[in-house]
Amino acid sequence: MLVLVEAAAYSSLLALSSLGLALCIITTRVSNFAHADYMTIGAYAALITSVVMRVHPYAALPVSALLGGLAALASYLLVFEPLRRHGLVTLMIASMALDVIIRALLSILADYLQASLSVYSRGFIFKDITVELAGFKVEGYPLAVMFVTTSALVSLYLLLYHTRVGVKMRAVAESAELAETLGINTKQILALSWFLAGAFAGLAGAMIPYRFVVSPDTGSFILLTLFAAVTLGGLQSLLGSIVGAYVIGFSESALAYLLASMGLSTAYRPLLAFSVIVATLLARPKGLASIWER
Amino acid sequence: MLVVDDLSVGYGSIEIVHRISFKLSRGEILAVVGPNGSGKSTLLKGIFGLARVFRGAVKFNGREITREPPYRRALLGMSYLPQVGSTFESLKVRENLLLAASTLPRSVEESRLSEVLEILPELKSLMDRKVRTLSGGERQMVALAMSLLHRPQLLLLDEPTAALAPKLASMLLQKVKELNENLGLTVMLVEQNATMALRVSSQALLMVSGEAKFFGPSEDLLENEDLGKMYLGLG
Repeated sequence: MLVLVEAAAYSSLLALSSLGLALCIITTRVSNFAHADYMTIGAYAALITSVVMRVHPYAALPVSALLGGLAALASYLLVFEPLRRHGLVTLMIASMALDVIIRALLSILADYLQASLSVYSRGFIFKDITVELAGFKVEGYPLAVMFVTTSALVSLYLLLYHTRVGVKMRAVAESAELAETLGINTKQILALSWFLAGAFAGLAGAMIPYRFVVSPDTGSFILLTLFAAVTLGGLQSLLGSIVGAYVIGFSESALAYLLASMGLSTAYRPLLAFSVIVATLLARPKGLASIWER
Repeated sequence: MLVVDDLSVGYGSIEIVHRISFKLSRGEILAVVGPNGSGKSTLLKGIFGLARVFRGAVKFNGREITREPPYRRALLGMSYLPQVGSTFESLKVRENLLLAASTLPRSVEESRLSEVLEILPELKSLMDRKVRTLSGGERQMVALAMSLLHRPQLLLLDEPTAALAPKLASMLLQKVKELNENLGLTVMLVEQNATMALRVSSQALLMVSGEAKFFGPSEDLLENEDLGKMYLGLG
């Protein structure tokens, strides 16, 4: 039971972040290699807020969302918007460079935190809280992850399908040029999409340290799993990325459980993400979304 | 209404349209005709801000708009219908119209939608169909309706009859003519079918290799045997 709860929580965390990655791919056609770094930024934002404000890291979730969102927004405005018309390869290489830059900046930040504030900032974790639910003692992490993910997904759905801004976002996603001819400020809409993508990643990142050790390079370890989820989902589908994240999340958790029970190292875990990406691209390039979008 | 002054347009570092100048008055239909690859569509894109302007200026209602982004031009009263991809195919007709109306004040959305459906009543029965299931002519009607929702002053049409059967093409251009007469809409129409376009237009611009070979009344171009034979396959 505990394994299932943990798998559901991990999958929700992946879904929250994959959704942002898919949003960037759909709206701007950018396979953003720096996306997982917004998660790391969210984790560091929670760490710094909890130390400076002397609050529990859970209370720092809004700050993590805000900083993750601002980092993604800055990436879009300073890098991807100026390069938008330069083709997919240019955008992909730019995102790889951005990934290296953000990780370097996070390393400098980590060193500063360590040296100046004596905060243990390379390989940190958060201590979870325990809540009592119907007579049972439950850890805060799975509840928080599932609550935050559900809230974010419902909010995004309401935004996309029940607001004027959401209608414009859908229009820009299908054809930015056509949307612009109808008087829609596509730059503004894309900026909003990027902010949301970063905010979701920031939120997810703020909850990583409850289960994984976080350092400036953490993003690079998660990125592959996020790409696997989005690829399995079909690259161009928000719903697909969510479903893909849950499939990958549960499969990875099951694999890790299996490896551990066989006495093998769980370091083989990323093998699954690699295999899913290759298998999906070979067998069903349009991913799971092709099942319901026929 | 529209003043194009010494305009050169292209993509990247390649200049395709060279030093075009003309004026278009309110209520006129200007047909832009010429052989394939003469830069007709590029000129239209340059006027709407979708192609790179190398030289010259575009003025709309006395206001210089050469450096304005396309969405600003749309908000100023210009409407551009691209040759392909003028509708959101995965959405229903109703959703396409609502999308186009999303930049209007909420208070006028409904009335503007009804107004457009009165102008294009053939769309009423198609509202709940996905655009990808419609015929080419029906799609162009949807695109036209999306433009009309904004009550544009100037409609820029890029080969609206491309890929349409001759009868449908004729019907569509007739509809454009009706809009021009009934609503006073100014139209700039890029067309491959020169005869059809010149018959519904009042002014004509003949483009060859990115340059203007003729600008004047459409009747004059229709009667000009030399130009007609050489560049338009007329006569």
